[in-house]
Formats: sequence, C-alpha cells, structure tokens
Amino acid sequence: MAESVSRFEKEVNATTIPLIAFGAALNIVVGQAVQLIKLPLYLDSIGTIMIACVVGPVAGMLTGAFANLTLGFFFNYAFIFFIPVTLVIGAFSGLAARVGAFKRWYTAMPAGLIQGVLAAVASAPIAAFMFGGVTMGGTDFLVLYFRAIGKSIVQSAFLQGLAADPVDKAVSYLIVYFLLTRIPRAILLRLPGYANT
Amino acid sequence: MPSSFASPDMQTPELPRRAYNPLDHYVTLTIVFAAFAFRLEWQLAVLAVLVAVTLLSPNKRRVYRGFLKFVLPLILIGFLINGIFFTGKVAFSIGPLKFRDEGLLFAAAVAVRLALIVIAISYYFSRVNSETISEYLAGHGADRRFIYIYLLSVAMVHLMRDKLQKIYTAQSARGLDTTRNVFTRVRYLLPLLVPLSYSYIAESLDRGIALRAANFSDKKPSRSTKVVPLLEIEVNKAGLLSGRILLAAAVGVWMLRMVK
Repeated sequence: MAESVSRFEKEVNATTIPLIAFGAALNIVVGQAVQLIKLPLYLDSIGTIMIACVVGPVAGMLTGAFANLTLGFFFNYAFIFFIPVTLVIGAFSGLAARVGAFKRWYTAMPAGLIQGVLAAVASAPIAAFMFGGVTMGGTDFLVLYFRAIGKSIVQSAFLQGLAADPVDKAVSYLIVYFLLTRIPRAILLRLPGYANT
Repeated sequence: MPSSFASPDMQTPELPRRAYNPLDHYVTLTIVFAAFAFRLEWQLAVLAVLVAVTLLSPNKRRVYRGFLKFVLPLILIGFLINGIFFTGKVAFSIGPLKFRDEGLLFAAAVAVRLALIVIAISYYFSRVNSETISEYLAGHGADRRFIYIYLLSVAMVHLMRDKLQKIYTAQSARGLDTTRNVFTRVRYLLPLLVPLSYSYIAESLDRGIALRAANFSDKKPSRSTKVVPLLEIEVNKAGLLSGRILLAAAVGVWMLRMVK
C-alpha cells in the first residue's frame, strides 16, 4: 500500500500534472487531426499512450480518464462509460514502455497489437450491456454480422472490437514512437520517463 | 518614499460569489442510480418526469443536442440489431425482418437507461458551470490536483485545436495531400502532431516549474490546510438536505426490493 501511494505521488506531482492535462487534450485534438486528413481510424489514445510512456502507467491511466471525462462533457456523455478501457490502455502502455517497447518500432507495433486485444476485451462488456452492442463507431455492421451467425451480444461486441482495436492501437503505438523520436532530446531529457524512449 | 503604499481606506476586494444548489447534483445522482437499480417500469416513469421537466427548461436545446446527435441513433440501431437477432417469439414483422420480443425488451432497457443517464447529466451541466462545480468540489475535500488537470485540459483543447488548424494550413501550403492512400495519410499525421506536441510538452514542463515555484503541493492538501478559493460558493442548505433525502429514499426503495 505504501509503495502504491509513493508510485502515485511519484507520477502525479507538480511537474507531471500539466503533462497529464496535455495528454488528455491531445487525445481529443488528434481526433480532429484524423478528420482533417480523412483517416479511417480512431487514434483516440495517442495522448494516453504518450504520457504513459514518458511519465508512467499511473499518469497514463489518469490521462485516459480525464480525456474521456472531457470528451464526455464536450461531445457526448456516453464516452464517460468507456473510462475503464482507457485505464487499461494507460496501465498497459506504461508497463510496455517500462520493458522497452518504445525503443524500437518493431517492438512498438506488436505491443500495440496486444494493447488492441486488451482494449477489445475491456470494451466488450461495456458496449454490450450499456449500449446493446452498438457504439456508432463505424464497425457496427460487424456486430450485425456476428449476431446473424449466432454469437451473443458480448461475443459480437468483442469480435467487433477485435476487428478494429488491434490495428488502431498498433498504429497509435507507431505514431507515438515516431513522435518521440522527432521531439528534441533537450525536451525529452526533462521528462521523468526519458529512459523509456 | 512612503513606508507603505496601502491607504488606510483600502479594503481587500471580496471574492465573486456564486450560488450553488446541491439538489441539482443529488437529483442527477438519484436518476443515474435509478437507471441501474430500478425496474424498467419505474425507470420509464422517472424518464417521463425527466423529459417533461427538461422540455420545460430554457436550456432544452443544450440538453437534447448531444442526445439527439449521438445517443438517439445509437438507440435506434440497437433496436434494429437486437430486435432482429435475439431469440424468442416474433413480436412483429416489417417485410422480411422479424422483430423478437426479447430483443426489443433488451433494446428498450438499454435505451431507457442510456436516455436517463445522458439527459440527467446534460440537464445538470446546463444548469451549473465548470468553475462553480470545481470550487464546490474543492471546498468539500476534492483533490485540487485533479480539478486543475480537468480545467487545464479543457483550456488546452481549445488552444490546441486552433494551433492544429494553423499547422494544417501551413502544411497544406507545403504540399500535404489528403487524397493519397491510407499509409501516406498516416505518415502525414507526424508533420501535424510533432510541432503541436513539441510546443505543448515544452509549455507543460515550464508550467510544472511555475507550479512548484508557487508551492503547488505534491501531496493532497489536508483538510486543515487553508486554500484560498477563486470564488465564494453559497451553498443552498435546504437543497442539500432535500437532495440527501431524495438519494437516500431511492437507495432505500432499492434495498427494500432486494430484501423482498
């Protein structure tokens, strides 16, 4: 308990709090960037993944939670229900960064695929019980197909997530990797998780 | 040189005051609780009252904007998918499509729950602004660090959106073409996100230094620590009591049902 409290204080302090707010805002703004260049992806966790990498898993979890809170208040309160998914993304991204997944692009991509599977597992029950399997995410026709072949709501929501999330998260991890390689070293050296990059 | 610049007539300006009625958030909490704990018939009754109250409010456009744009299509597609693919007796048919009663009931339960939660929360935020909520929460023991993160992220979203638009315009002038294939367009994200991230990471690190210099505590401040608020919140005591009674009554009704 004492160790978990000290990890929280280590990752959430006066230095990292503005970074967490930046990560939360980046999650929302990347959605706008994706629309500007007309990409068929969500990429709604880039801020969470980046902060989890450069600060730590607890900061990543907070970034995801605040991003969904802010998204909910700006656009649609239904986003608030997916906060548990963002906690999973923040936690796994931080742990993946600790073991060096972001040091090379060919380790970042498989870590992103695993992240996508975990995100699909976490989001399936929420999509099934809160939204009846429908999330208006563009892949709802897959839920229709899986239900037509006899799968339950939870299975259909999971398989629909599995069709989209691994690719989305793998691309997100690659983008975060390339972003961190292009940010000047002088800035990265000031970040607590510099050793993860 | 005068020993003090303060005139004897100078007074410390009073903090701006805002009224806050806790009944608003207790009603929202009670409705969200009812959305998960009550039976469908009771949820429908609560929804009917909620819709009647919100339609009579002056902020009804703001309350229903998000609901109509995002939640209503979700509900309709939910009826379609679950009505067709659940097992059970056929309730009705439209052409070749057969809608099952179990699926429609499930979709109805999801729809009512979603509608209750989204409309209740929308109504609450149409009546209270973020600053008032933040000061109220801070005055009641909420961690100021989390309030700061939320308020800063909301402010940053607006600033970053404007900056992103300018970066996009500049990059388009340099040849950024959004009609290329998907892989090329993914690569095009980097010239947009790198300058944005670089400037805001640097700004965030500088802001962190300013917070430390201002003695922004690394730890959650204890209740005995006096923190100077930005606003003075006048809490409606009658609303607070009524709200607590309302929520307790809802929980009591649920517990009675569980015991039976």
